[in-house]
Amino acid sequence: MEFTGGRQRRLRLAGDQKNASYPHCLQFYLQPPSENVSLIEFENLAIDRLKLLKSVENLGVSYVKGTEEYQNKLEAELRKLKFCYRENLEDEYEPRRKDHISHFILRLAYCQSEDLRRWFIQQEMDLLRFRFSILPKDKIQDFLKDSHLQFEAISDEEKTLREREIVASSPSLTGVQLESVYKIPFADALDLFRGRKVYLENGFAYVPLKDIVAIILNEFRAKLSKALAVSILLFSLIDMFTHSIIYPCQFCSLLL
Amino acid sequence: MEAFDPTELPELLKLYYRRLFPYAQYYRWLNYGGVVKNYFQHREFSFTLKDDIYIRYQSFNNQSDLEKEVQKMNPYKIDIGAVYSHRPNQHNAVKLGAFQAQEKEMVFDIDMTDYDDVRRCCSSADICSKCWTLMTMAIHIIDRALKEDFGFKHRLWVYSGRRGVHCWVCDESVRKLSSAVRSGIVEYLSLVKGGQDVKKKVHLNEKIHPFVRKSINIIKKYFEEYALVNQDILENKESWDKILALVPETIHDELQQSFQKSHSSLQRWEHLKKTISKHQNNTKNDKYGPWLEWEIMLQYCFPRLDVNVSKGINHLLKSPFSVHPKTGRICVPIDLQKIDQFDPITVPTISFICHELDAFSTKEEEKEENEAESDIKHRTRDYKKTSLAPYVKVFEQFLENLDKSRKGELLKKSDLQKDF
Repeated sequence: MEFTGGRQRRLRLAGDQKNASYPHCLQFYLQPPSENVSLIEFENLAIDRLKLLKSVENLGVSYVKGTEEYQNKLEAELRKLKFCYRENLEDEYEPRRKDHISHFILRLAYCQSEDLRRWFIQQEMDLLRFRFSILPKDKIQDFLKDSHLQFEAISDEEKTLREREIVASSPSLTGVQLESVYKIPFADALDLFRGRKVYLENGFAYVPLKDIVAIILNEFRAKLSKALAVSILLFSLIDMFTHSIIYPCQFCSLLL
Repeated sequence: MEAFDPTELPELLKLYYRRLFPYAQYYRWLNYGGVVKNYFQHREFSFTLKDDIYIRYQSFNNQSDLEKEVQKMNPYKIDIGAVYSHRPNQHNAVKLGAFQAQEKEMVFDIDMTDYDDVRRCCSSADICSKCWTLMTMAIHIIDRALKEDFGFKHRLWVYSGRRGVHCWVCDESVRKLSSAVRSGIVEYLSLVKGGQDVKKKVHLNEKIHPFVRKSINIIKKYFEEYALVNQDILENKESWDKILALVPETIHDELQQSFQKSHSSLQRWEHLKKTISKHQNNTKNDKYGPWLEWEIMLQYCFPRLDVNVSKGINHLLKSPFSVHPKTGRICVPIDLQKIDQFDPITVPTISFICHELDAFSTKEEEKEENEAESDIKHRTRDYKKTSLAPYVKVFEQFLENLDKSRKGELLKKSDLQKDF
């Protein structure tokens, strides 16, 4: 990411290319942005995301996460700050781009201490959980594929064959209509199989939709945690070779 | 069977390591087809020598190197450790922190002493035909889960030489598993929890996981003969009080009465089941159900694993075909097709097979007088002259399966790369 002083023209992408760069509202933030961003926009992006994460925190305190009220208020907040939240909406390029870049900007600031890291990861996870919960069922498979997670939904026949076993294995299932079930290598479902909370067959865990979310969140937390650790390491290295770093100082003043 | 005298070990081992130890098959196993460079050379072995001298970080260049060293050191016990990043025998020359354990088979150790609280016939190092069924059930239960739930294909079960069994899971993917996943696997396979001070060690949930259900079904096949007849777990007040401690107090009096009137463990067990059933139907209380019966069966029969053996990638475990220094028995592979017929008493001791070899050699000398056969040829046929032969055959079958799998994988890979 390059930072330039003064006004700088943003890269303009043609319609199709725009959609290709952000195929989903939801993302794991695996690739850092590679655009040019003006300092002013940089500042605005950071401030907006900070506002968003603070709202996530406050809403999580005032309401029970996952309830209708919580969901509605959070959606309203996302809309107000012009971040993306829902698939299928038109003209989502700007909000998705904003989401992407602002996340990475805040990483720079929030990698700096254990407390900051913990706070940042918690809010980002709550945000991801919310966005995943409103993802339409048919879009889940696409999102998982693009995130390079080896999750494969099993066919209805396979599901019926194993229904009894799957229901008997999962504490989160109450015997009602069985939703989608995903087949993943057992080692990817460590937290589930160690407590015998999932059905295992021939090296695969048959994970119902409810439990896939937990796995995805864990995966996200692990990746983000690692990325933040790398960021702080890079900072220490930069610090060693240069005496002054512009952005973190500007940042800290923004935060206070 | 020839009585085993531990003082004869040094001489017996000399003969064993020179003429009987199956080096070729052993190397074939640990070399894993030579697919990964230096896999064998980076493997750690440890030797326990006479007078309890223990040396770690042994490693060898090839089969011949292994043979020479083993014959030179004459170890009382051989342990197998992990495959490291460098040759273990050069680990001191490696930069600090760079010498790391990288891969190892996943291993399980099931020891009879862990069942002392529930077996009435023996304790500590003793075993007999009455309690060996615990190992039989353990092998069936664990092996089924490793194969059907986890999809592990190459499982070698070995008699530990005295009071238990070991399992070596050798699939390529398994050798690479992290410590965390290994721990998770042991956790999945564990049901009996708590030490000496915990009376009730098994608690089942409302929902019975398929692993638990299938394990109970295996135990059911053996329970009557093992627990009610051989172990006689409801024989007298002292023994049945232990079982009463596992069921709700409200039925204790009722059970004491019906137990007094009964004449056998079988009868008392029937009473127990009926009483539980009755209370399940009468009271709206959730305390009663068939799971009470299952919890007792599991506490008395379900396998008890040592997590520390299984979770560490660098953990050292006694090698197959090692000799148990106290009993003299060879640590032989167990035929999975004949688990129920396996009897540790019939496992040959080192003195027995050395004796067999001597007897054979004298006969042979009488028959073929002037034949000059190479030493190696002699050795490769020697174990066949003894009771070790069938066990080496089981090992060879295991190696065949490994080879087949490996060929299959290589074919798949070359197909993908379109190598013809």
